[in-house]
Amino acid sequence: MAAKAEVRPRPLELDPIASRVELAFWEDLRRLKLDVLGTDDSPIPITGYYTPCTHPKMSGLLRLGRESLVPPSANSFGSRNSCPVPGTLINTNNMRGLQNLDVEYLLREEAKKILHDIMHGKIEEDPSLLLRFLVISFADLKNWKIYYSVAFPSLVFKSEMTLLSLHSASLVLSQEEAKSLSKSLKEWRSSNETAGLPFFFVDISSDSCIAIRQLKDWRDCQDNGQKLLFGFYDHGCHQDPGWALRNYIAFLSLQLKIEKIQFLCYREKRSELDLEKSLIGEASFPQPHGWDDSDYVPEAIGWEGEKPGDGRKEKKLKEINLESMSPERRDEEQQ
Amino acid sequence: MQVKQKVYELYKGTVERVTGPRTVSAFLEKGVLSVPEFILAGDNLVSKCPTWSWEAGDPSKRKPYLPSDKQFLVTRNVPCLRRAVAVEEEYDAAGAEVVLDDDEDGEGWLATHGLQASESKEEEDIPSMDTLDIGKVEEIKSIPSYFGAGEKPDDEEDIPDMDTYEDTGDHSTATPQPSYFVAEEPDDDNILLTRTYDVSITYDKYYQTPRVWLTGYDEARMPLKPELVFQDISQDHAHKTVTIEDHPHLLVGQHASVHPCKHAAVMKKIIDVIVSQGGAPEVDKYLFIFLKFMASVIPTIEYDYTMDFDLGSTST
Repeated sequence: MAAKAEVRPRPLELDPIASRVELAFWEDLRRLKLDVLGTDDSPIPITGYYTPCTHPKMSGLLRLGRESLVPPSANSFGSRNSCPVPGTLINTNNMRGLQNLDVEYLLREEAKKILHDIMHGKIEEDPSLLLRFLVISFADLKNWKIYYSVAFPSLVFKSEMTLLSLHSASLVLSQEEAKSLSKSLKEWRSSNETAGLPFFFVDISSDSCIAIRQLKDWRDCQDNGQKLLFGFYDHGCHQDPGWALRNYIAFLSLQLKIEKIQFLCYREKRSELDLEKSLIGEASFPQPHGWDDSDYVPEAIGWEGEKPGDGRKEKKLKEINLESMSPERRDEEQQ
Repeated sequence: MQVKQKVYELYKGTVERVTGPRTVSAFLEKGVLSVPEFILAGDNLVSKCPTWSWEAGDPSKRKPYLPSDKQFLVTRNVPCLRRAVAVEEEYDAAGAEVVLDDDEDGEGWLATHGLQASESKEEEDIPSMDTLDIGKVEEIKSIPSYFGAGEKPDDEEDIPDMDTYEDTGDHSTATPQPSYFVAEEPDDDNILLTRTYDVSITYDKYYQTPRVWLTGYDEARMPLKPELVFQDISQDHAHKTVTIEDHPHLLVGQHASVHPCKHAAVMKKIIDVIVSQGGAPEVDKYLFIFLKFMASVIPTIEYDYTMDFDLGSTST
């Protein structure tokens, strides 16, 4: 289904990312807590795995699994279907501890890390830093229960980001461009070097020739008179661009000093570019001021399942029952 | 039953330990795969359908006869739009005569063609083999029709009711403009809140065939109880050829698995049919054939296996 044609500029609206936490992650956390952490509740660096939308009617997600608690320095797991993304886990010692967390403050602290990485040129080297996420949890090991919440911090500009146009890629690109883009992105997605990089440039020359470039090659493809699309792996399958676009725009605005972009929301079908579902749009955004101050703490949104303006006192928590893993339960089942 | 299964697993484990893995090909004669053939077929699957990846699994469960980075195959977040139970009930109600499966002689795989043919005359929202083709999106139903009258599974407890639906609806939206909730909603009929599966394929050394494992997630992306997985399995197979067991490469969680005891026989049948039609089955396409055969057991799980080539013939 083609995206609805947009004529009128409107505020840019984005489709939030959803998380999926596998039992293996909680089991690893349970063991870590029992064997290593004890009552230490300091933040733990973890890894999430992100994918673009791979099915026309099924959004992708950020997955936490067996490899997620392996320290990032020792974690080599990753593939085109599991792009590694850095995150932070704060596991509290009791329910009160979890409920007392200042969730808004924590979110802004994570957003500050993203801002810091943008300002210090780290995004060019590791674009996945734009997708940094946060998990807060309480593992009630006595009762085999886990309570948790996940956030995808997204920087909020004080002035609005404006969406000028948004169309299905199939409507925007010429046949030649579409063919060339599909081919280039197929190569990008099959190469071990680039498949896990969720942000990229699409460089379209006047003869419809297309090259996909890494963010770090930005300096090389500036001012050649060509058309540029700022591409990213879009997890969503909906009519709005995915969540990743806002931090991407923040990066483009703050680091590359751009105020208007054409962007490509990359979505797959059968492991290749889905021209119908992928979106090409144009957005403009005035430069934010004062963000380069090292003490500046940006506004942020992004708690999963929460609308902005919701009362933040009572955090909506997800609950996982691990009882099926308890030795008693397993013995019972086997009798 | 449980004790019997345990004893059997123990026996199987012992046999696996004392016998070496198959190295000589018996693909055409017996429908089985040697270890190198499994790797070859797996590499081919990953290259043709990159939603599948090789994985290493848990180091403590590593099988020495498989490469450490190619222990098993997995595809994640695969939609399962409707319960197989419900599909079959509707199908029976429609007075259909074609039986979905007959695992005695492997006709099940072939019978699904009959099912497909007759289905196209039925209501269009009965998933057919076509919907397994990930490219044909039109047949995939979104939430409103999923909750449509007469399509609900029997078991009240397992029905994601409207409350849950609304609840998850809230979960999936967090934008700074509250107007979002009304602005786009009616148009966006492709919002899909559905069960999903991680499907993995391991090599079963005892039966010398691949083996399929299912890990389910509910509409809110929370782990699905293994018992509920049976709703997504053809009822001729649920609790019989499909059982809940520990995964050979993962430490945690119970997973539903299609027992491989008849895989070789069925694969042999299919290979014979291809040969009788003048084809020359190639071993690197084993998993494509195998996954098509698996679709008769898990008819509503839409994993990708591109079948746009002539099985066995020279063209790919």
